[in-house]
Amino acid sequence: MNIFLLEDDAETASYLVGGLTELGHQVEACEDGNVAIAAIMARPFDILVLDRMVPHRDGLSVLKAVRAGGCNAPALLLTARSRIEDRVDGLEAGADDYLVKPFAFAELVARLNALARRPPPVETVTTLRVGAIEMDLLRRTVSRAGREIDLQPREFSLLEYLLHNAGKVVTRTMLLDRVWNLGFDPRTNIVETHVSRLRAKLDEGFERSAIRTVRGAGYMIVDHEG
Amino acid sequence: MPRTVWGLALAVALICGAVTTLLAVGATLYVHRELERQLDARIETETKGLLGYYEDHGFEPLVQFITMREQRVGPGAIGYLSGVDAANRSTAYLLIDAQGRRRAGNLMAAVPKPGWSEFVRFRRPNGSTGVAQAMNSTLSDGGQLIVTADRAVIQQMHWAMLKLFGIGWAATLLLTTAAIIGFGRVIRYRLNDIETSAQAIMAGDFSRRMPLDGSRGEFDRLSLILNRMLDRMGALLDNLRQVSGDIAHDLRTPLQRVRNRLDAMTNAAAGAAHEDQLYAAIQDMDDLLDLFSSLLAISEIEGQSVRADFKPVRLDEAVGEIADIYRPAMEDEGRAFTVRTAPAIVRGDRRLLQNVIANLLDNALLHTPAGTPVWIGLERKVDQAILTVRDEGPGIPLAEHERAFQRLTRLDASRSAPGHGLGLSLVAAIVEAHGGKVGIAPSEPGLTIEIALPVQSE
Repeated sequence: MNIFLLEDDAETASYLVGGLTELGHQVEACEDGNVAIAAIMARPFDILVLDRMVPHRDGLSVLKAVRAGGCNAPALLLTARSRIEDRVDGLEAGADDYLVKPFAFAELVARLNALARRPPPVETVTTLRVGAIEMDLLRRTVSRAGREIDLQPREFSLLEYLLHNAGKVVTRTMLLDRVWNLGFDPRTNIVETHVSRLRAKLDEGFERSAIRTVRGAGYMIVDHEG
Repeated sequence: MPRTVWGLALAVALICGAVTTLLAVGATLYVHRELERQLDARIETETKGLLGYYEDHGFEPLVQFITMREQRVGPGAIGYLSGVDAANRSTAYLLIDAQGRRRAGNLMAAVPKPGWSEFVRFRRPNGSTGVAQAMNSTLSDGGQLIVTADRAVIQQMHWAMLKLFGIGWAATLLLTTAAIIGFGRVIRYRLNDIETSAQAIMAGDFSRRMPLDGSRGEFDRLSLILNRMLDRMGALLDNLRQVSGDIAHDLRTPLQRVRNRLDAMTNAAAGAAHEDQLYAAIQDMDDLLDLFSSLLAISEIEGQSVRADFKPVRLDEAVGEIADIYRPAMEDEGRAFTVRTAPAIVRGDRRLLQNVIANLLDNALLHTPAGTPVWIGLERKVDQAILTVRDEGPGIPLAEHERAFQRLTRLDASRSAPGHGLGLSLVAAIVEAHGGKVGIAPSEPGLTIEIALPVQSE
């Protein structure tokens, strides 16, 4: 992926550039808001990662400026603040996601992957399929290798989100935010409970688990058969 | 409005002076007019009498009558020579015949013009000069009768008034000056006391309070309210000190653990054990970051800026969603989980309110043994929505009820359970930001947290 990074802390920037480059992405980093606008408008990027607090122009106004300039690459805002208004401001300015500092690198990668290949909602997808798992979004049914699996509505939306992001790591906070619409992190292992229930239902009668736990990062639905 | 004591005092003094002066002028004018009217009346009566005498008896008898009247001394006598009644002595006469000769009367003055004359200069029998009120009546034979009254009474009255109000003025001046000085002294004395105390407090003596003299006066009231403010600030300061101390203490343990793990890694060979240590260290760091975000969240909510985004929230739906999310965890631990909600709309932030419910359910999961039943109830009482979360766990001893909502409080019974002791303080902060109240309701056995939120008026 071709990633643009606006981050003024040199150490954080080099850490992120190093990590993302290692994963095979091209990263152009910049530490000044005004320079960033010119750079983003100069050539197309697959994704924008913008820190909110940078010299001259904050990430939010950079985003507004480039959105006004016709750039519609998905954007992820980084911020040290977690206030509710900030989140709202960010989304209103045209951000597609929002990550509060400090964050785990895995969390950033997971969110970038989710953003980068988010399918444009032009054609209506009615079935999701990963390996032997098939989900019918209209009839609200799920089957694995042809065997029907009975899911609760919440388990269904959890699986739907995992299938949408098949092959990519989905973090705990992404699940809390997207599946359950919770803006906070419970102190108990609610996510784990839901995932393990879903896993139990999906894996019943199968040797290999459909959902893989990625240590220190999150979960990923994997295609064993394919 | 004057804003200093001196300005106020000066204004008061000026007003007092002005009022006294006004009074003096008013009184003088009034008495002056009365006296003048009396003089005029006397002249008129006298003239009328003498003219009557003239009509009845003729000119020569009038000459004798006037001469006799002036020379008579004693009761009934009039004129300067009577020597009996001061007021009477002020009247003087002059009778002039048709040929212009002075025939009778003691008036030593130029003949005034016919009719009324004010301020006619004359010489008194004792030689002093005076000013008189005079009336010149022309007789039917061409002679003139002049009756005058000395204006000395009016002048005497002016002098008396001037003296009286001079004394009054001086007294007012003296009194106001004394009052101002006394007033200023009292104020300065009390202000100095307050200033001294304030300086001492600024210098670090936080236990010092403003002096009270028990008079319940204005300064005592000021001191009282200042002292209440100082008490409140002191309590907040203590709380802050306590919290910063607690934070430092709470950070030490996980930081020490991280340090230990990193230390161990410098010695151990790379491998699975290495990786375990790394993940454990990351877990510890995440724990620390959680502690910080919770503290920040509480400060943010207590700052009340969240209120700007408040919208109507269906509380029963919010409770239902959280209950659904927590149901699997409850079932996994073999707990009976009962949810009873009645419709209620409150004004607030949906996520924050859900955080409250989630926190209370987290507490139930973390601090009561598996299998302990948990209830959530939401009911409407007049204009309040009452949310209760109840469990049949060990509960919180009555003595610790108040402490339970303070930051970083880890009650003895839960010291071994995970957490930072911020859950209930976050709950309290959110509920208070929504204008509600949270408390521990008496329940035996177990724990009932009761939250009252004002419902949105329809």
